[in-house]
Amino acid sequence: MELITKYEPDVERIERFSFVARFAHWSHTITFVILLLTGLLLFMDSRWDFLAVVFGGYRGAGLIHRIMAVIFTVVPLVCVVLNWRGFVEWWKDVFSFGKNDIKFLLKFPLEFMGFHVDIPPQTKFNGGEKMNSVVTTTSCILVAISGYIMWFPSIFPPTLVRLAYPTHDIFMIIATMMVCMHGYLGSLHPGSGESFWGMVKGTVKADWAEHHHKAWYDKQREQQG
Amino acid sequence: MTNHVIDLKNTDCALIIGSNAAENHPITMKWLTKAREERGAKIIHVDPRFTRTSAVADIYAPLRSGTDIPFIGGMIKYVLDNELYHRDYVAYYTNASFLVAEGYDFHDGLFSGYDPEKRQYDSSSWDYQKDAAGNPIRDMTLQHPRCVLQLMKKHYERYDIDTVCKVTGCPKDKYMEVLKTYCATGAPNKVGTIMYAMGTTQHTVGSQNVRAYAILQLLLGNVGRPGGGVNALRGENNVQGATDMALLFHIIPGYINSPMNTAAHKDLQAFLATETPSSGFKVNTPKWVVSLLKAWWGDSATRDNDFAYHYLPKRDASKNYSHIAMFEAMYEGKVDGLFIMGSNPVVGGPNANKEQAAMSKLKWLVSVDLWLNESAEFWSYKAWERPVKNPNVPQLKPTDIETEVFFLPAAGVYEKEGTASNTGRWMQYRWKGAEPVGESKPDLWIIDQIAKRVKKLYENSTLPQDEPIKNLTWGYGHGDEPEVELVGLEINGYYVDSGKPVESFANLRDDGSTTSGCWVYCGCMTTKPNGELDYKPKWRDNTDNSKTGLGLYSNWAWAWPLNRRIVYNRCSVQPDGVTPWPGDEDRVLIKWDPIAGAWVGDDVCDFNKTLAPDAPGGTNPFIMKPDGVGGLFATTTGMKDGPFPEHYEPWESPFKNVFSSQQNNPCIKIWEPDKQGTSDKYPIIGTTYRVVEHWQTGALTRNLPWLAELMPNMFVEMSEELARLKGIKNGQKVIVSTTRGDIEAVACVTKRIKPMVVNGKEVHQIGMVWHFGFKGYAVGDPANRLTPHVGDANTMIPEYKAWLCDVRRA
Amino acid sequence: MAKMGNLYDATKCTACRGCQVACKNWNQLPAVIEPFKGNYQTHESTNANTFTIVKFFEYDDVYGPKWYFCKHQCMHCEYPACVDVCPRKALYKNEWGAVLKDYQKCVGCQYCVYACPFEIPKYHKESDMVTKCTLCAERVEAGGIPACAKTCPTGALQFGERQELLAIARERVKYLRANGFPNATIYGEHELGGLNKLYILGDVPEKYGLPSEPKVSSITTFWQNIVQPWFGLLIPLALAGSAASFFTTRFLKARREQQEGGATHGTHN
Repeated sequence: MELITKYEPDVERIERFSFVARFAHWSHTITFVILLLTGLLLFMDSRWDFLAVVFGGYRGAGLIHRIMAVIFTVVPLVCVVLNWRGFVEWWKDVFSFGKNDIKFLLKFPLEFMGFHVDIPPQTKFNGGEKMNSVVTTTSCILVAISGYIMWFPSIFPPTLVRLAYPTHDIFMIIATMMVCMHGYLGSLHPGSGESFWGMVKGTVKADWAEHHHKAWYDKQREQQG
Repeated sequence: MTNHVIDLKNTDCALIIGSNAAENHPITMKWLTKAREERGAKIIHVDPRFTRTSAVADIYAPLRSGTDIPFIGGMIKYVLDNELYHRDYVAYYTNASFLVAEGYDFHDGLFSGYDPEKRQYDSSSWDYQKDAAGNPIRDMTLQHPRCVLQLMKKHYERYDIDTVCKVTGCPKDKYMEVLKTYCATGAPNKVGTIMYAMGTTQHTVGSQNVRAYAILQLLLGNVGRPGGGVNALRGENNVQGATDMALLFHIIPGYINSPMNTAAHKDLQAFLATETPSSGFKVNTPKWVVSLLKAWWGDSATRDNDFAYHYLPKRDASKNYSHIAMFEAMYEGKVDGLFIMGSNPVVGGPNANKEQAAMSKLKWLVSVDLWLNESAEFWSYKAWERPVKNPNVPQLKPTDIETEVFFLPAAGVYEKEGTASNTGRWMQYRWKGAEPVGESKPDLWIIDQIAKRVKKLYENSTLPQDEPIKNLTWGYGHGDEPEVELVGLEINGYYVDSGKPVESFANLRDDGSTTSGCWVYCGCMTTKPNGELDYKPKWRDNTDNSKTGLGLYSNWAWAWPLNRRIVYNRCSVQPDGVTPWPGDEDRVLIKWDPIAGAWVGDDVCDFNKTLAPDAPGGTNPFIMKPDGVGGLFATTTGMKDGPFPEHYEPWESPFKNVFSSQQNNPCIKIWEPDKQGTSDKYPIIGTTYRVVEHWQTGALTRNLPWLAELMPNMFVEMSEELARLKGIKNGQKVIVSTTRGDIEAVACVTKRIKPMVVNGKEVHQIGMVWHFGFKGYAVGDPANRLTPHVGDANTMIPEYKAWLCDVRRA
Repeated sequence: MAKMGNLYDATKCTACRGCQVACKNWNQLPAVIEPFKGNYQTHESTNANTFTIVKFFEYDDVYGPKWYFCKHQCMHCEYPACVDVCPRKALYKNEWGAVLKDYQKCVGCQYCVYACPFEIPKYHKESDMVTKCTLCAERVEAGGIPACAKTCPTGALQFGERQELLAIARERVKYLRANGFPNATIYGEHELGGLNKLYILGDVPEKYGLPSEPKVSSITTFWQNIVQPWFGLLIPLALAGSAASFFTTRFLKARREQQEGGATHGTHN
């Protein structure tokens, strides 16, 4: 059994993510991981010193952390501007959280563990993805804001700076947790299937879309039709 | 200081007036704090500003700048009226009992003998009544209407508490508190000290201010006893040494008047006859003068040639050679060259605008300093920048100035060896801590080189007027570097035949067999048993030799005269010489030992060692005075402006003198009558001062980043009320103006300065530091561009401390 | 070794600031020259090149003006918040009470700057490190006393064993209370569990710029005691969940396929 579903270019595929969206996703992924690793150096105790070596010591790690922080915050903003419509679509979908999404979330743990469950028709993003969108985005924003406060503490009130430290930690942890799950669900989890290719190549198999995101699939068909 | 710094710990009450001891003499506070902790001593601070000294004082009493005499005069009256004076002390140790000659009188601010034309007194009527033998007549009951005490009582009758408070602006409750607290030291078992500094002296009545303190201290029996004294806190670490060595215009080393071109000084005999009093320790003046001449001209000074007295320059009796006078002459183009060492007149001189302009009329200027200070660069563009255009202030350019300026880099204090005499008269040796930077050289090296080279120029001269230079003794070793100990030996004096140091000034002779460069320092060097020189300033034994813990430390360094730590110490016992003052057994410094027939004690006695208390003069502790007693009344030669301190307003004052119709000190010389500011244009009283962070003109400290950081810019302190009145906010730039010029400074609006009510009228005072100039890390306008060219009648010290100005937003 | 520290008697201090200069001299710290701002105080607070600063406070009361001085520097707390938050363990407390720093380890994160209830440690931009008073540990260990205490001319600053200093302070405060300082108090005996810099104050601590009840911010405590040790566990939890799922999904799928006789039709293909 393969780890990741095989990519099948010669079946009918429909576009799921534009280039800008994918660029945003992957640049965000890379910077997040680097930020995480360089940042963990301070969060974890000194047993993780070996990690520092990779980044040229603590000061190197600090510098990389800051550079990545800028990319981490600027790139998504640029992409939002470039792909405004996609962005709006995404969030419209996220906020059209309905009965089916709740049903999805309730059944999700079983699916996660591999049990067979019947999923009600989902829009472009299923309930889990919607939740992921909200939690990850919120976390990223809070981590970024608190990060900048910590970077330039002298221009902020001390209480805000003090608040920034646990905020940065808490939301880093939440974001990391979500990223772990999301990464796993989007690739190695047998159920992820085509969604992985949706983010890599931009297209998914039409019948996968029909099964997993019925509502979205129907809408796409309608629009095409 | 009559006492010394450590001795402050023995006091019961310290009256700090005209001094900001905590800031300018920080170490004095160490001992005062101890006195407070261990003896429950009280600290009183009297000052126009609430300073860091006030912050640690028990009582702070504000006064209007220039009203010390009313403040102290009121205390004198209070002491006399309530009989709080130390009766036995006053009767025996002061001239309170002396009857004053009938000719003496005082009327409406003037003492007898005033000549308004010459603006000076004929002081011959300020004398005692004398018996047939010429001895002063005394009334030990102190009741005779012509006795000093009664005359003094009459003189200060006008200084009642209400008038004093009205004139000084001191609130009555504060004044009463001061009166009660300080005057309590008149009790025989209590001793109070007065500490003063430039806030006292830098007035047109500066000398009389000090006199007033001395009178109060004598009345309360506080002089010559541990924890007491009239203590001048000297402004620099070696200014005591500088005055002892006569860096002044009117004396030669050892406080001997310098010779003048008058008949009375025409030759040595005439000079000595004029300058030697008939009684008191100064009868030894001929020994000191001859030994001095021998020190300077060695073999060329012989009995036959008047010990080369004719070599001594004679000053013109009709001229004044003080700082102000010198710069006035310079301003008129009468001075060709100026040699500045350890001074910075562009910042520190009064009326600095004028003094800077005066320097531009010099042909040459030599500046010796650690840094190129403001005076060395008085010609630069920056030096003539002014915050506002003022037609009275010259605005020159470097091209307008032809003065040739030479700069000699000097070594810092830690880069050279030598002695410094501290405020407590301790002559302390300082070893070199580091090598001088670059080409900088110790002052001694610079002077030595100049002297040697000048002498070389005159080597072959046969002209008689060149003899003083040709024959000047100048032998401080053979090397390039002069030997400090040999300079010390010359100052101490040696026997001409053996070359060995003279052990004491008692051994000096007027026959040419001894030398001494400064008799007060004679005894600072002796010969050790092994033949080596024992230079006592190098003594470093830090054990207290006082059995009662008075902190004498007699084997640490050496104090002039003859290592006496507290002068007039005969006063520390009762007149009988053996009984301590009641309740004050621990503060006895010396005592008569009838068996040994000598005075013994922990301190070196400041008295004739073998003169018994019951012998004639045996109760006269003030040995330097002809009459041997403390002068409550200053006789003929004492003061130029009166036997009792009398209040006169500062030269510039917003108020009429309420004590008499004499507005100003009648004896002061007025240099610039047109520059007297009036209160209609300049309603605010200005004063200058220093802070702990900077030193003098700041040449040294403003170039040190760590100190520049502490006090980075020129500022002016003012009350919140005045700031509101003038629309000034804290930290804003302001302009302060007087008739002499304008300066820019940062406003320091503070609760520590309050408007005062004087004569029923509200008056504002502002204060500014005078440390600043345009060079260094910490820069600002010199406050002395505002101060007037007017000085004290006796000393010519400029009136830096009270003048009129105005302030506005820049 | 007994706890050592300074005793600063504000009622004896004349604000000569010799301590400030001596500190810079010993630590070779450059001057930070700022323009005069209308107060004798040089800087608002300590800075990266100024480990100790004398603060000036002016008050008016019925007896006239009051001018209080107070030397501020690291308090060398018994339970130092800065040590708690330091992620690199660069800050530590030595056996006689000084809070010290291993500059090899400091990475300039500034956590300590904002944890300190007295706002003492400051960030030094040039070196990207945080600096503060060291209680002159190297001098003390060489048998000397801190530079500030050494230079103090009035005896306002003493150095010695904390217990002995406390005894002196108690006596002094008793004396002061009886002699015109009714509000005199010891500061640092109990504050934050005890400070190694003890103060004798002539008035209430606030008037000397000292918090009367210094507290480590509850945010900092929450961060250090809850977030740091516990929240991090969520990450391994997520990883463990994913790992478990990796196997269970595959196991269940394999079993399903077995049951369905090798049929490939499933939800997830």
